[in-house]
This record gives sequence, C-alpha cells and structure tokens, in this order.
Amino acid sequence: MDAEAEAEFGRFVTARSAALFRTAYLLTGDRHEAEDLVQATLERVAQRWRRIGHSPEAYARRVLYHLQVERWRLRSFRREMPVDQVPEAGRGDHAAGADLRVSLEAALGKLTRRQRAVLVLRYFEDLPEAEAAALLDVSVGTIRSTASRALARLRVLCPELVHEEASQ
Amino acid sequence: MSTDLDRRLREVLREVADVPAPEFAPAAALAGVRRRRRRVTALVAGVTAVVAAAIAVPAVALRPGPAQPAASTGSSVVAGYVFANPRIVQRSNLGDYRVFDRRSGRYVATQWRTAVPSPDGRLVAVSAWDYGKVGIVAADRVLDEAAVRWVANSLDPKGDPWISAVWSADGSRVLLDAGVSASLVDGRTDKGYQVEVDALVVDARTLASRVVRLRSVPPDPPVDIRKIVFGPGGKNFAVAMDVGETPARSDGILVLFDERGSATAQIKIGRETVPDQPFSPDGRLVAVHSDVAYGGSTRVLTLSTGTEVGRSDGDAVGWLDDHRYLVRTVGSVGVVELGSRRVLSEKRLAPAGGDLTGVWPAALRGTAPPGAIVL
Repeated sequence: MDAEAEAEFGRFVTARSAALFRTAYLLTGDRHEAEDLVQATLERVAQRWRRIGHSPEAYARRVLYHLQVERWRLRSFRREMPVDQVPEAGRGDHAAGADLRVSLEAALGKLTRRQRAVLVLRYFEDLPEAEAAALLDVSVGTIRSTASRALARLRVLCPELVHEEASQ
Repeated sequence: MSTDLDRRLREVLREVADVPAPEFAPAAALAGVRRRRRRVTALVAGVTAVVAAAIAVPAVALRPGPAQPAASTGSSVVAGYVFANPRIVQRSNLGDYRVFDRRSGRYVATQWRTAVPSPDGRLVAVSAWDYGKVGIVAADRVLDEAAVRWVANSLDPKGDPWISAVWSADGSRVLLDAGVSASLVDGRTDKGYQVEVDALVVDARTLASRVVRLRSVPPDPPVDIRKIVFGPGGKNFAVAMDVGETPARSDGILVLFDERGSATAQIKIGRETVPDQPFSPDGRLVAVHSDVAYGGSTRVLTLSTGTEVGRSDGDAVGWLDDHRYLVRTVGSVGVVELGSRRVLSEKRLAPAGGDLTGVWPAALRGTAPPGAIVL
C-alpha cells in the first residue's frame, strides 16, 4: 500500500471505526470482543484496500458479520440453554427503559450468532432482507426464517419487549 | 403488533449500541497485514514445494446415483488441487476455504463455508453457506457445485448439521454434528444439565445416513462443544466439550459414548481439544492439543485414567500405527515418539518459517495415494 492509499485508509478508520464498533458490540455483547472484531476487520480491509475501491464501508461490514458469525468448529451451548427464570416484566417506572435495555442485551446473548447478526442487520442497520441475505451469503428465505426464529425467541427471553409492545 | 415490536426493537438496539468506541489506529491494522503477508508468502512457498513432490491423485467423480467407493483407484488423471485452510493461517476466519491449484500454482477460492478432505484425499466434505447444507464431492471437482452429493440439509428431519469435519480413519464415513441441546434434568439444581448431541453418521459410499443421539450429564453446566469425533476403533463416538459455571471459568472434558449413544466414560482435557482422529490405533490413548490455530502443544492421555503419558510441541494431527503421532508445528510437520518431547523426522514445509496449512491426517496409515501433504 503506497502512502496515498495508507492515508485514505487512515481517513476511513477515523471516520468509520466508531460505527463499526457499535455494530460489533451489538453482535458480540462484549466490549473486548467487539474491539477484537473491529481490529480484525480493519486488518482485512487494509489487506484488500486497493481492490475494494469505492466501497470500503460495505466490504468492512461484510467482513465484520462474517467474522462474527463464523467460528472455527466451535458452537456455543449458551444459545441452547433453557431459561428457567425469565426476567420480570417491565415495572412501568422510570427505570423500565434501562431494565429493558439490560434485558434485551442478555436476551441477545442467548441467540445464535447468526440470529443475532440477522436482527442487527434488519433492525439496527435497517437493511432490506435482500441486502442482508447478500451480505451474509444466504438466501432471503434463510434471512426470513432466521429473523422469525430470533424474534420468537426474543419474545420468550425478553418479555418486557412484548409487554412494552402491548402497552403502547 | 409485530410492527410495534419491530419499532421497539429498533429503538432498544440503538440504545444498546450507544457505547463509547475506543480509538482504532490505522497503523495497527497495516502492521497486521504486513505480518500476514509474510506468513502467506512462506506458506505458499512451502506448500508448492511439497506439491511438487506429491504423488498423483487419481480422480474420483461422484456421479448421480450410488456413489463410487472412496477407495477406488487406477485412474491416471491427476487431481488438480491440494487443500489449504487459510483459517489456520490467518487469525481471523472469514470462511473462505481455498484450494491450491497445481496447474496454476495459485490458491483458488472455493464457494464453501467448510471443506474437509477425506483421509485418502479423494473426497471432500463441504458445507454450503446456506446453513446446514452438507455434501460430499470428489476432490478434483471441489469447485463444481453440480458435482456435490448433498447428504444433509437443515430443512429435512435430520436437523441442522454443523460439519464437524471428521472423517473416519478409513474414509468410509463422515461424522456431522446435527444438533446440540442442553436441558435441566428433572428435580436437580441448575448443575443438572443433560446434554444431547445428535451425531449424523453418513456412509461416504452410499450416502446413507443415521442419527445417533449422544446423551451425557456433565459434572458442570455445559458451555461449549468443541468437537465430535469417532471414538476408539472408529465404532463409537467422543465429544470434547467445555463445562463450567461461566465460559471464563470452564474446563474441558472428553466424553466417550458407546455406539448406541450412552456415555461410558469421561476424562478431563483442560483447555485442549482433539484432532480429527485423536485415538491411538489400539484405542488406549488419546492425543489432545491446545485449542489455538497452530503452533500449540500436544498431550497424550490414557483413556482409562486420563493420566498424561506424553507431551510435545505442536498440534496433534493423527496417529501412526506404531504409537508415534504426527504433529503440526509452525511451518513444519513432525513425528513424535511416545515418551519423548522431541519432534523427530521433522519436515520443514515453509523454508522461512511461516504458517503451515492443509495438513490433514491424510495417508498417515500408508493409504495410497496420499491426499495432500504427507511426510
């Protein structure tokens, strides 16, 4: 990478790393893991900087999601754990918003990596199904079914979300 | 109603994501690229050198209808690819398995999420990005999606298989992880989890498959599953898993199962995991290695007591017939004698060091022709 390209890459990192980090945090639920994930993503982006041309952001997001969803022959049991005690429903006081946030964070941690990625893509990044599918290299049907399963699971794991929904 | 849920979810996700971001230095990413570039260069040089000396692999084509026997030989057609696994080379894993094209001398990206060659190197178990879709394809047609014989699909009743990348030592069967669940055992505290692992066993020749449900009650709550492999002698099964109160304070165990899926024994393996074929030919020993991409260490344990009887550098790859085992170290492959820490007969595959990839337990038992990289 020549000096000019390095400078361009530097500007990209400065401008976009915070946004990438927020997405990574949603995907991982852990600051350190998110930091690692973004760092690995930036390395990959730097490696292909010349080839990704005018769309480094799109490429970076693609890498970020793939890095997170894929794991080397490792599956997490955590997502399979039954919930013996569901969190209490929102209490309606001023702390309810914070409770909901905490509860949702915990619930996200119990989803599979891919379910989580699909939810982030659809509801945080606001990507249409087709774009989410393209980014994850899966079919639109897979995005739909994954999102559907993830939402169903969230309703169980995070009942506050449903209560809030019903009360409004 | 669902629109409200969607809206609420959007709002809360934005709140959750509202965390201060650390500063990322472009220089750190660029330094990582330079390091990786040096490693990949060394790797390509090493693999090329080995390929040049490799024995020609007869082509095996899987055609519609009953699959051909995996051990079929006699063709004079040279298979064009030797496997490489950049996930081992690179710290991160984007999932882009690549094959080394002998004719062009270059790596070619595959379309597969996972690609694992059989011990004789003729067949490859592949999993598609479409989750849960697993198939078998001839090695020399690995880039040809139409040549794949699909053996599992998440839409069918066999579950949602996650390719465990495990072939039986004779290459006749493939083992897939078709689902994992953990549930509380009735009447027990939160430590009383029963773990159920559905092992999908596929006959590589006929593509017939069956599910064996492996049940165990680990001593602590399950955290992760590391790998499912064929058990000693290739008949039974074994599962390496993490158990503990939290992922940060977990420990590894290897649970052995009989052919009906009942747990028969378990031994502690610490933070380590198992190679694809971890058991010695006599079924009395197991090799475990550190769960890092490469350059780790191996311990050999007795299955009866879990006692350590050997230790060496390098990640175990598989066993030879005479109680020696093969390890992969950074840039090389070597043989270790039981009881010795030294890596003997070491074969440097990357002259300048670097990371080794594409080493599978191929041809360890003298199976001819060799699949990928052999001593």
